Amino acid sequence: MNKLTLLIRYKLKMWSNIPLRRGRRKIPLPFYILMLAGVFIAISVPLYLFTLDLFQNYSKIIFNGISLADLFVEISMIGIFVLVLVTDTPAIALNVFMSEDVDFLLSLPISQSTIFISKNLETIIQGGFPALFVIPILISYANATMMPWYMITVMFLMYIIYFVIVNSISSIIALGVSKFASRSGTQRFMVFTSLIVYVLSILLMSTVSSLNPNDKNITEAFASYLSTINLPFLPSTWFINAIKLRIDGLLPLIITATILAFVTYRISSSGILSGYSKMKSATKHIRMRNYNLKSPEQAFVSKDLKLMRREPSILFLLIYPAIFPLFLLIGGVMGRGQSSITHALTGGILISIFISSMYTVIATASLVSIEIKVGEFIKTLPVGNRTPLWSKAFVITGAFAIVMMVTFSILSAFFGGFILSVITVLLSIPVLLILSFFGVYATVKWPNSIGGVRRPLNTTGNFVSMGIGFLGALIATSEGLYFSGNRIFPFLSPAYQFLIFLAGPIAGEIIMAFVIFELLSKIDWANPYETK
Amino acid sequence: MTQLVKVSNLKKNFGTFTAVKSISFNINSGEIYGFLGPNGAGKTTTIKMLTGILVPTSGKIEICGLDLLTHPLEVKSQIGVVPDEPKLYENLTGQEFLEFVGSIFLMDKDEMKKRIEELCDAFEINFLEKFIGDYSHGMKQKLMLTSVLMRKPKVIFLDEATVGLDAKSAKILKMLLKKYANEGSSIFMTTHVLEIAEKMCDRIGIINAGEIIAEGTLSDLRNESGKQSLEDIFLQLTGSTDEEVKEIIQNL
Ligand SMILES: Nc1ncnc2c1ncn2[C@@H]1O[C@H](COP(=O)(O)OP(=O)(O)O)[C@@H](O)[C@H]1O
Ligand SMILES: [Mg+2]
Repeated sequence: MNKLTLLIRYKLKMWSNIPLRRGRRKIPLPFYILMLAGVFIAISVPLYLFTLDLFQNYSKIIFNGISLADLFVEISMIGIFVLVLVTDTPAIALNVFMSEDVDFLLSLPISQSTIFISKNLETIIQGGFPALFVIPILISYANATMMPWYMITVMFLMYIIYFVIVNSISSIIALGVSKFASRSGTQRFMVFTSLIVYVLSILLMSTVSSLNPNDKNITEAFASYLSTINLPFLPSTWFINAIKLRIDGLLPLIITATILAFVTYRISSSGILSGYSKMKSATKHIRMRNYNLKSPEQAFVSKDLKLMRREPSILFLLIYPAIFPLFLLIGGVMGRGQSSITHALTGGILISIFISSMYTVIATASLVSIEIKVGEFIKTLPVGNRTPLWSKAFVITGAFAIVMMVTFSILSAFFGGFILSVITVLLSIPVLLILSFFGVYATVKWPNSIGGVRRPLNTTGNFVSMGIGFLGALIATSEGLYFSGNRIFPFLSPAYQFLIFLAGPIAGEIIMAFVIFELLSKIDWANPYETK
Repeated sequence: MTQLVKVSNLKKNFGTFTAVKSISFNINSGEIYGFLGPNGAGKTTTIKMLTGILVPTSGKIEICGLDLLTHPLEVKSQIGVVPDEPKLYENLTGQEFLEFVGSIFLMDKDEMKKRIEELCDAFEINFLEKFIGDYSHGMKQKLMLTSVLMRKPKVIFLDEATVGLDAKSAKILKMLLKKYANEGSSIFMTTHVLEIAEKMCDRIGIINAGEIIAEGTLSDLRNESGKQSLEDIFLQLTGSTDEEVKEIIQNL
């Protein structure tokens, strides 16, 4: 136990040292906790108020002895089950079974199970934050159904037990994963799990918020649909029964948690931690391979494409411009009526362009930072110093343009407006290219030497590139706005419209291009990555 | 005999600290030149300057008859570099990395394929389809060696190349380097494994605190110092005698 607290204390120390290593002032740990608590309260108070209202209405609608409120709690529990399972499993696999410092810890006189528990706690602290947001939901449920205090205590106890079940299952799956998957494969897999969570939560939110408890038909249909969720073998069903102190909930929940926790504990203390399969190099004979050779420039572009495709944090940035129009469109379809759909479509396209412009800088910076990491190798190649940087700007611009193109084509196949999409994408490409070159400049000028791919820029760099990204986004969107015929200032004459939304932005674009290329020419290209 | 590498008065400052103080040496074609020195002596800094990674503070580097500073690309296309700590693209597979290098150096496809297969056999490389991020240090080193040796460059620079390798691969590397030298390449290798320097190198330069304090063939060095083993010569030159070492051990 002593060693466990020691391990956790040191991990907390390392986390609070991170800003120090970035060359900033050390933030004391209590301050961090306060900050997280602030975020938590800021989100959970509105959540509490929202769900309180919901539960008060829902608890009156009852089917087969289950109120709609109960079903809502069950949905939340299933949601949190999936969420924790999906995010924690790869995180545990990476953190516990494939972590490099586990190798070191194993060489110390600390028992395997202590290491396992501390590493597991670490993962929960890092990734289990969403699980906290069930708490305000549970409190408002308790309030709405007027639970006495001892039942509230039981409820939270049950929630902890529920969490133990989820965590044990993730640990067991993670162990399996670590036996056949490679480290980099698991890392890449994490982006998709996070994406699933993202889409799921958007869907869930929009379904829940679109419900009107006073509309009898919808709620009844919803309730009968939900009752398929109230299955006797699901832990979420046990949970809702358990918090009503029903024995058919308490018993399976506690027994399952005990068994799973025991199994996980046994597995963790039986020498399995170190056994991650680093690499299987079983293939004895070397397969006849075909090597694909290209021109040096093409080779750079194709390599950068591969690196981009395989870098989760960049992929994430690329996904946003595709997701947001969808989000708006869901709203538009729900608002019903052709005009709201058209509005949503235009809005979606413009938002997509805006987001693409904002993210182009940071995506390019990320890609350049990968190159900086292997900077010395690049310098030994017989290529001009600019080639590696040019190729990145083109790859990122192309990627964002293609994402927008595809999104808009799909949207316009359903809702029309193809010409508008094509025009706006074409107009935004030069802006994206300029912004992307700015990203190159920013990474060389304001590198964050320890931030890695996720945080390629230091504070100044982030600040400046946000500003420039915003400027570029404004330019690109106002051009789009002009061609969409969306007159936000109807009192302006067409001439002024032209000046403000087209001529002005294009002039701004040209000035921006000029300034950025001027800045780029001042970089020491012979040594773009030289750091002191 | 042609001199493929000519270095004169090479110097590198890091701020006020001088890591390399005005060193000069030449390497002939067909020669293996060993660069010895204690940790922090300036070996890696020198190799980085010779390969165009670091810009020297002053001095002249000529490789294959070309000035590195004025003709960097021409020089780089004729040399190969194996760094001490291979940092590679973690999200590329070994094969993709080799394709990238082959494309940059405009290699012939069939020739490249043949060479890679030979080298894979020699170094027992069977992980080309895996991502580099999953490689061990030795695997990365082998991949880097393959990417350099497949090109048969005129001049090869190796920084502590045998460190991560298993005994068999190290032995094969040594034999390959000998073979390439016999075919006319120049090889510059840093090491602090004295035995490797003793067995392999035609000429040895000993660097300490940024200065070359002795240079020559092994027998030159022996004659100069009057000692037989390279270890004794090395310890004497770098300012620590046998007695001193013994005393340190005793006090521990
Ligand atoms: N980028 C740098 N900035 C400052 N000092 C450096 C840098 N690189 C190397 N040095 C210093 O130069 C000296 C020589 O280093 P190096 O060439 O790596 O030695 P080694 O012979 O062990 O390879 C060391 O004292 C090292 O601290
Ligand atoms: Mg070194």
